[in-house]
Amino acid sequence: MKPTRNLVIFSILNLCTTILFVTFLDKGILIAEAEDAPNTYVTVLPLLYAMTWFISGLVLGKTDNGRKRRYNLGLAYHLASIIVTMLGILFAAVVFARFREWQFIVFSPIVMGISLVAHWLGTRDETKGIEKEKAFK
Amino acid sequence: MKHSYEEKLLNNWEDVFRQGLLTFWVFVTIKTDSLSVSEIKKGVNNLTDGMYNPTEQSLYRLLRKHYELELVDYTESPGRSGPNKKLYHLSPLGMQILVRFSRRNICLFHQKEVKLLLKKGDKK
Repeated sequence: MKPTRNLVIFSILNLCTTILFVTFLDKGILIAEAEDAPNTYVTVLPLLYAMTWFISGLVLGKTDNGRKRRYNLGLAYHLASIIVTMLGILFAAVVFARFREWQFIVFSPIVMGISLVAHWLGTRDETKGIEKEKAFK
Repeated sequence: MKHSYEEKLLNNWEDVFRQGLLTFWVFVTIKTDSLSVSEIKKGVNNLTDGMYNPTEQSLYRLLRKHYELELVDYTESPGRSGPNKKLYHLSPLGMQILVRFSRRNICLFHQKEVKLLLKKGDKK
């Protein structure tokens, strides 16, 4: 199962933004604690981070060449998102003490794993993520 | 009243029966020639004696999915006064699938009982 070029770009881009997000979020929380008031790091940054995921998924996913692979591309993007998020969580836990919450580290992969299984169950009858009723009218 | 009830039953059965067969007629239309969407629309209409009259939009959507599924290919030819025109034809995989589908599903209609039924219809 060779990933498409867009999927690789999506993964690398979001891995970089995740590392930047975690780093700046830690800084933001530190400033917020010192000033006892929220700052742009903790208010705007999460929104920008979420938008990066959303827009990159939308643009790269929509423009991905579906013909060159035989697996479900939507499921592959979902899996890539989980791997990137897990790497981000791992990075945060190793580098920043404040993110070393065991509940967060344990429950995040479980929740994401459940979402992936649900996605797989919902699309396992599809070919390349296309429903048979829509492919063969 | 009886006639309209009969028509309603027939139309309902046909609606269900036709679902899935548009792909068959499209594939038959493009199995040897590279055709544009408007030509495919006409071809399907001619092949089915006007029973199937798909819109160009629905054909575009269908062909886009078939292209992604590797069942059809296209070549581009310069349009008269606009963007390039896509000419669709059946891919080798599409041809294999069409032949297998026909053997498994269409050949059934050559059964003796079906032929007798059609003869009976002709006599009427």
